[in-house]
Amino acid sequence: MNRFIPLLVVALFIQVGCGTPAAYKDPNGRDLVVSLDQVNIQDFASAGAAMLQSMSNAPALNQQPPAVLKLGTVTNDTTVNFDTSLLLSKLTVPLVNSGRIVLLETDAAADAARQAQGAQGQVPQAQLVLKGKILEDRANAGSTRQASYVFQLTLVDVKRGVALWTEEKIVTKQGTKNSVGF
Amino acid sequence: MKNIFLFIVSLLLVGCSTVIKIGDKVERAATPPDAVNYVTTKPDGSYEVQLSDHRFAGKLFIVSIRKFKNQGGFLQVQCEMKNGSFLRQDFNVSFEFLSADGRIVEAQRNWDTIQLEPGAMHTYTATALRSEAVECRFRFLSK
Repeated sequence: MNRFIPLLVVALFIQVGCGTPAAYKDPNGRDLVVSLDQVNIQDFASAGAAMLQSMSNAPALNQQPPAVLKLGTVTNDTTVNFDTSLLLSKLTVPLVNSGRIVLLETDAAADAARQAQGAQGQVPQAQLVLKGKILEDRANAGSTRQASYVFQLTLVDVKRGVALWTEEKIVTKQGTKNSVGF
Repeated sequence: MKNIFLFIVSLLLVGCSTVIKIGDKVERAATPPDAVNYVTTKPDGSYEVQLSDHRFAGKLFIVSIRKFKNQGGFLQVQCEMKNGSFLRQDFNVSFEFLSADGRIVEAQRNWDTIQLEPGAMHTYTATALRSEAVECRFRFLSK
C-alpha cells in the first residue's frame, strides 16, 4: 500500500501541475488545436488546398492572357462567425502569384483608378466570378460529437452566366472534446 | 487486489492523453534520425521511394507514380498508394514541385489526411500551378 503513495503523489502532480505555456506553432503543422465547435485555420487550409488543386485544372484558368477574376460573395451559413477570405485567399494567393489569373480589386482606390481610365477604354472587366457557400452539419451519438463543414465554390463565366467549374469539399471532425493535433 | 486498483487509479490520474503522448514520443525516438518520407519523380519517368520512417514499414506501399501534363500544359502527378497492413492506417500527404535545376517552385504546406482500410488503394493527385515545375516530391507524415 505504502509503495504506491509516492506514485499517486507523482501522478497527481502530473495531473494538476503541468500547464502548457504559450508557444509559436507552425500553422501547417500537426500540433494545432482541433475544435469541434468552430472552423479551425487548418480546416480552411485543407479545404482551400483541395479546391485549388481542382480549380487549377479548369480550362478557364489555363488560358493566355490570364482571365480576370472577381471575387463574388461567399455566404457563411454556419453558426460560427469568420471571415470567408480565410478560404478565398488560399486560392487567390497562389493563382495570382503564379500568373494563372488576374484579380480584379474592388476597393475604392481601384474603382477610382478604373473610372479615371474609363475614358481611354482600358478598364479591365471581370471575366470570371468566384462565389460560394459554407455550410455546417452537426450530429451527436452519446458523448461523441461530430461537426462537418461543407465548402462549396463555383466559378462563373460572367458573359454567359454559366458555371465553368464547381467543387465541394467536406471537412469532418469527430470527438468528445477539443484536442491538440491531428 | 488493492495494489492493482491503486495502480490503475494512478494511471487514470496521469490521463489518457499523456499516455498517448508518451507512446508517440517513444515512436519518434525509435525513428532513425535520417528518416525521410519522400517519393520523388525523376526526369526519366521513374521515381525514387524514400520511406525510412519505421512507422510506415509494412503499412504504406507506393504502387505507381504517373506523371503527365494536363490540358493547360502544367505538370500533374498521381501517386497510387496501398495499405499493406491488416489495420486501418491514417497518414498525411503533401507535395512540392521542383524545377529542372532542383529548386522548389511551389509547395502545398498543409497536410492532407488519408485513411486507408486494410488492402485499400488510394490515388493522390498533385497539379502544378507553374509551368517551370517539372518534377514532384510527395511528402509523407505518419499519424
